[in-house]
Amino acid sequence: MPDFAEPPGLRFAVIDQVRVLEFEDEAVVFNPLSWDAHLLNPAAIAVLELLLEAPRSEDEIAAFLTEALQPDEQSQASAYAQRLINELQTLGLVRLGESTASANR
Amino acid sequence: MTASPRTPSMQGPPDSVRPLLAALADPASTASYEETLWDRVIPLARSARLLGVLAHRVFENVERTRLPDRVQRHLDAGLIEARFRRQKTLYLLHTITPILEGHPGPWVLLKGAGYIAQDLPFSHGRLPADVDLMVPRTSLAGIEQGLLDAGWEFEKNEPYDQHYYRAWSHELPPMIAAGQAMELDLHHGILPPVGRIRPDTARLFADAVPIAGSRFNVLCPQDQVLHAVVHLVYDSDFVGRLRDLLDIDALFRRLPLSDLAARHALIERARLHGMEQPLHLAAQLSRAWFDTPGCDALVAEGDVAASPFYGRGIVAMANRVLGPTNGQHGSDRSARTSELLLEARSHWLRMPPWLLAYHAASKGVRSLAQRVTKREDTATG
Amino acid sequence: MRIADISVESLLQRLSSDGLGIDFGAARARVRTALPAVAGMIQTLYSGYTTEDAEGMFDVTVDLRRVRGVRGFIRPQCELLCDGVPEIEPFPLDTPLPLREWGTNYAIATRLFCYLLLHAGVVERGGRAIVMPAMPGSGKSTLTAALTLRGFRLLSDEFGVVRLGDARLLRMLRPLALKNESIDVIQRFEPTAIIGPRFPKTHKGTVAHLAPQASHVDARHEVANPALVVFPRFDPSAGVELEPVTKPRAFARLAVNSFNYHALGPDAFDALGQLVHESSCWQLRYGDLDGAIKALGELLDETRPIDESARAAQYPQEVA
Repeated sequence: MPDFAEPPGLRFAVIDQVRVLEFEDEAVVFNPLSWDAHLLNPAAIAVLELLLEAPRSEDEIAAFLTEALQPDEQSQASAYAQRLINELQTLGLVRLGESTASANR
Repeated sequence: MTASPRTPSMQGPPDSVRPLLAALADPASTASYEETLWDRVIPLARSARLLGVLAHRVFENVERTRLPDRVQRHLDAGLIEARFRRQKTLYLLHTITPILEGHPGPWVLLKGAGYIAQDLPFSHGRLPADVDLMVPRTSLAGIEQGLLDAGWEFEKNEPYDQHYYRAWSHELPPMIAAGQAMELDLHHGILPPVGRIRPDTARLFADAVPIAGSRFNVLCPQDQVLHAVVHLVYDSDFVGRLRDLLDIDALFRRLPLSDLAARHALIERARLHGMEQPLHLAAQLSRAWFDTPGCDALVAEGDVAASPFYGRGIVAMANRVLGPTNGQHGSDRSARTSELLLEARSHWLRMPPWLLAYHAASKGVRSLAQRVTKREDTATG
Repeated sequence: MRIADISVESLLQRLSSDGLGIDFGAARARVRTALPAVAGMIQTLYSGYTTEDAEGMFDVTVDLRRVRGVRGFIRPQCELLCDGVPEIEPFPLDTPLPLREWGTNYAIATRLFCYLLLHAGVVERGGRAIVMPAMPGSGKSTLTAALTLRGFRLLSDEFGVVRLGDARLLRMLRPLALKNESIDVIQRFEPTAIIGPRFPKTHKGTVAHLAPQASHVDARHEVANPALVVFPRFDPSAGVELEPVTKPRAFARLAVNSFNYHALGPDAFDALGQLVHESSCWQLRYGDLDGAIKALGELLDETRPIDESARAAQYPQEVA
């Protein structure tokens, strides 16, 4: 994992008490606020799990994704990160700001 | 107690409901209930929509393992339904908070949504049907537009309904949104502006209290009591509304009504809003059904003009129809008569005669009853 | 004593006084009626059940009676009360049994919030269950009925009762409702099957009921383990086609085919997740009933029960 030494600006965090059910390629995630369940693809799961470890900024998420992408895709990392964050925010699983997120696997 | 002879219905609840009332009043005693008694109590609670409330009280007082498995399952079912409503209420509030942003408040939660947001003990196990939010009249149009822009819709969209609500009522038609299990009812007052009781709406807002950790407010404690009182005694026909009376009992106890100063403050507040007679009637009913401390004193102390709308005849009729019957009517006919009379009374109270006539001419009194009386089907869940 | 062994008169006597207790497994109902025709129908369809006292506590008390008064005179109707409350619309007097069955199902679905209730037919063999969600066109009832006549034991044709906490399947044994063509299909499939009277004019067409077998009734308190989730689709032009379904998709489809998943929140999520985790999930397209049954039997045999410790590790725990 890259070392995130400089203090990031705004950070994204997973909301409390999210429940994650992992299957082979996908996960089903429980949103404890809306009580909705969502199917997430592997990229979205990876980002969610990253954020479950600790809140991260958009840059940090992009850097994380860069590692996972092929060399010719790496320039897309930023855009990709933005899209995934938006998706997770729209689903209400992730929000901007600090939180003491705990997750249930 | 007076010496004058009383009919059974003057004395309070019908016999068929008393097993439920006994369980609610003394939940610890349910530890020794036979299954045949539970077989009566649980259906009554369910039909009165009080199963969750009963469950909460029982589990607070009785160790689970002392109860038969089947009983535990039904009580759990009641709590599960209540938990669902609570969660959906909180989620709705969470969702609309950003939409309300920028529109002058205070944003006041009424009734069940308020009790949940405040996390009042007696809110546990309740089954709120919708979220009632009162906002200043001047903010109403902006908030309504904000909600529509965010994907909310009106549940009733006929022009007549829309006109009715906006012109004569204190609330907009109910609003719904995808992903929201609860309806949102936007109010600018607690009672229709054309009725016989005119609360001091400015004071309702001015004295509203903030909820810790929330952007929302609730009415001050006396106003919460009075709102619950008029909601039952003025704004409904009493039929199947036992849970509303139980709320009043809980709010009385919370004041507490037994405290002289609190009681006098409540009476004063009732005078401000013109609600002395409803309060007096509510106290009689609460005393009869739940033996609420302080009601005797309030009934004795209140200096209230006699009225056919709030007098002993109404108490007797309300007693007949408040509770669930589960098919065990004492007398079908007298209950049915009481229902009709109480329905007529409720229309009369809420509208001056000329407006009643207008509505009757436009749509027929039958559909008026559907629109104005938010009677929840006591048969569901 | 089996209901088959008491006389209709005796049955009617009980039904019209204190009532008759019927234990479905996960729930039990007290039934009362004074309609003689209904007593006869109960004797046929509940023949394998044992008579229960009407004493004690029941999950619901169901009263079936003739509607009185002017309205009842003009159009004879029967009405169903659940715990004394008329929760559903009356039916014409000549269709009391469908009313009773549907009304009882409604009462169960609205009362049993202590369990996750899937809308599915469920059978088992060797304690291992096949859950078949009930989408329109699935032929779920026909398939479920046929399976029970070929060595699979019935849990329910309507309710997949999932116990919260450990996701075991409970039984809700009720007469299986067959509609239209499937009545003949099942009668031909198994001539010894006990099928009750036909009701031609219901809003679902012609309806008849298959009586559960006595040995299945005797097992009503046995719990089953999830093993297969199968989404059936009846297609007369097909033979037997099986296609795997991913577990997340199976989860979603099961949740959508549920009576109360939406209201149970995290508990339903966990239970359904556990059920799906332990199950092999398939889409079945079939036109050949015998072929389908054989395929399901083979599928059940091929999938091994999951190992206990792996189950515990995957089961999502709530951190307080």
